[in-house]
Amino acid sequence: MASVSIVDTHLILQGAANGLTLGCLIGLLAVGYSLVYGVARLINFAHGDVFTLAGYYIFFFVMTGRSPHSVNVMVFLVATCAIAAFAWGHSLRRTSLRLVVAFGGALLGAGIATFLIGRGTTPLVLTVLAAVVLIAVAGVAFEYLVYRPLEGAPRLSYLVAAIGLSLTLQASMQLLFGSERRSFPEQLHAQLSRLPVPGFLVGYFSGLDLLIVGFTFAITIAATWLARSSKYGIAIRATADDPILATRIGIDVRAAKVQVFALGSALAGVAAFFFIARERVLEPTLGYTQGVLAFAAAVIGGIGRLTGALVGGLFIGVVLSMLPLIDIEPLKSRLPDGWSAFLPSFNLSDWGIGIVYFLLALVLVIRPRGIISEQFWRDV
Amino acid sequence: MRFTKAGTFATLALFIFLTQCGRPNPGTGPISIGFGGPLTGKQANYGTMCYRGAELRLGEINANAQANGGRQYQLVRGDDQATPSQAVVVAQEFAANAQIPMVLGHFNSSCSLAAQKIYEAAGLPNLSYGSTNDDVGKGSPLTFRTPYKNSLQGKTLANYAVAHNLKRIAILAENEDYGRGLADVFKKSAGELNLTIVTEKSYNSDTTDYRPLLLGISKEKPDAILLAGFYPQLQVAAVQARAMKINAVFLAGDGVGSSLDYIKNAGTAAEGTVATGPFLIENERPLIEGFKRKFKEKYGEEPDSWAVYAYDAAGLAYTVISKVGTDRAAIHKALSDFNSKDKAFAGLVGPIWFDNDGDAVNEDVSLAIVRNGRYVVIPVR
Repeated sequence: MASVSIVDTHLILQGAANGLTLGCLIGLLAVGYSLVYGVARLINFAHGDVFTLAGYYIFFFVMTGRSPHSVNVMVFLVATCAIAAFAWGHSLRRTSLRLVVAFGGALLGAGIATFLIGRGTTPLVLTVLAAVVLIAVAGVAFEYLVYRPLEGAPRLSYLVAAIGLSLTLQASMQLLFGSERRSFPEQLHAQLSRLPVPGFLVGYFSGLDLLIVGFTFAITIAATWLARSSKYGIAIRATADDPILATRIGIDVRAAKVQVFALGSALAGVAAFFFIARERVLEPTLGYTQGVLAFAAAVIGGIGRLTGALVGGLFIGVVLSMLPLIDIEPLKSRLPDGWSAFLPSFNLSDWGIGIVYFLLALVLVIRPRGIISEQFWRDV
Repeated sequence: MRFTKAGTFATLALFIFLTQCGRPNPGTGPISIGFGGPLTGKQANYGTMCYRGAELRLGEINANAQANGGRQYQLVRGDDQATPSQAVVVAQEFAANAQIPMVLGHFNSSCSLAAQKIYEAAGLPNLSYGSTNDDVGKGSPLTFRTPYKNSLQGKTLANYAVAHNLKRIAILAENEDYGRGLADVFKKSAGELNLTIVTEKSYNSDTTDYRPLLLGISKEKPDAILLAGFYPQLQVAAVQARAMKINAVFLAGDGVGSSLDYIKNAGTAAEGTVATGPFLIENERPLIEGFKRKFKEKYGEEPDSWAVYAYDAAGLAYTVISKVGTDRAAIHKALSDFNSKDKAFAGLVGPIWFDNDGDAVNEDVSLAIVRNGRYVVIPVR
């Protein structure tokens, strides 16, 4: 065989296409890290587990039939709705009134849960929408339960609390939803993959892949626009800029924080749907691996920036996807004798994640504010 | 404060009395056997099947003992979650518990290999009902196992490839003892049979997107892909490969071939997968029919083949302990004495006896192909 590896354009395009889809999935999750960091100045390590929780919501909503596990999902839903409602009622003076509001939230949660869990016939769009709203509610509940009491505490406390929340969520999901690996229904996966694809993209993207890419780009553009021109966006940006000054000019900083938690969690919910529909994998520890990748993406793209999160996600997606296509063997035979021993004898693909972390470390050392220059952001 | 001699003595006596109170009398209480395996986690399905297999056997023994006044047996659960680090924790607990004379376990090769050093230091004999990596028996004189070795699977699969003119083979292996071990023995057999290994890719147990690896594999246009790993991961890889229009034949070991969930979850992508495995359930042997019925009666679902190995392992443990008692060294000696065909233990899988390494001398590998959502056993060669 000739030692020259012929560059196969088709193959490289396939790799790039997969990288684009994978990158969008990572980016969608990374936006949550970036948003929360930007406003609350905390790295929400539990974000990945919120993503997993959303996956379980969707999984139990689309499955027909009930099990002890789906009853546990119901308990989870009711509890988070009650807590979020209690948090929402913070302007009410009397605790008894807040408890009434919380009870209302619990009833609402129970109602939605009974309507959706185990039914399996609800239109998919409605199911996903409900799951996205419910996971946003859960995000608000976690913020109230875990981060709110820490207001004014040193940053390290937030970090420890975030890791604690992450571990607690993982363990509860193992305990309550079962620790086995679940498979998203094959039929739904096939249905989604069969969505129409323009002719020239056939073979590179499935219908679902295009949906993922399209949605991610649309939502990133919409979010950037909203952050710039809407009332909420301006409040959020002002809070991110200087919380004390923002309070002085009459912005409800607390509300801004709650909003980013809700928005970030909702996006994690969408990402979870896309993920389990595409990969058909769901397990309690899923959010850990995906969350760390997304965190890396947020940092590489410049943490605190919405578009940066997507850029970082795409970067990681393409690296992970294209690495296995690089073949070291032909290179070895071209080197003079003895030198090839210095080249690794392993597959580069085995080191995909390792290389991503290496790049993350490199970015942190050389460009701690992300790979894209500040100047560029200012110009945009 | 002054201590009187009598007072100290009395306190000491009381202390000893109290600490011994709750303990069952070692001569008549139930005998505890450690069970190490993945009872939770990604591979909980395997662990649960095996635990039930062993529990079923001990249940029969206990019912029998109640009638004849013999001693009762019980399993002590040791959940290794299919991770070697957790297996070490389980092993330490078993080793420190003087009430446990013997361990059934572990399931995963990586767990057996990690735990066996601790068992060895404690002189605790351990009998694996699921590990097939070639090094498991060799690793420790106190380790025995009931299933066959990976090299037999590697040889069987390589022979199948030759017989069906599958010359260019790619390997997709999980980066741990079982997967790497199976890939290695397959490569060895493939080398002897002049098959070409076109590429080798590996993944971790938490990999979810196999497309990049599969793209690298499809570049080489293989005739077949060896799936060396466990079904929770490979069911995903199989679906993604078929979606990418990779039409190579899937060859797989018993990490895939003994699981009904592989077919259930991978659906149409599983069709045509050729796998080695014990396939004891599918082979319809008369002895196993009875086991199948009893298992289904008690647990409400069909057993898999690993449950049969665990059932036999529990039976073997009972045979040995009822003969030589609960001394760890004596049990080790007694297990080593099953060293020839005429001294073999009569298991459901057939006669079980061990070679010098403690590996069952066993050619019990079958080959099956997935057709219409079922494993259909096909002749080996």
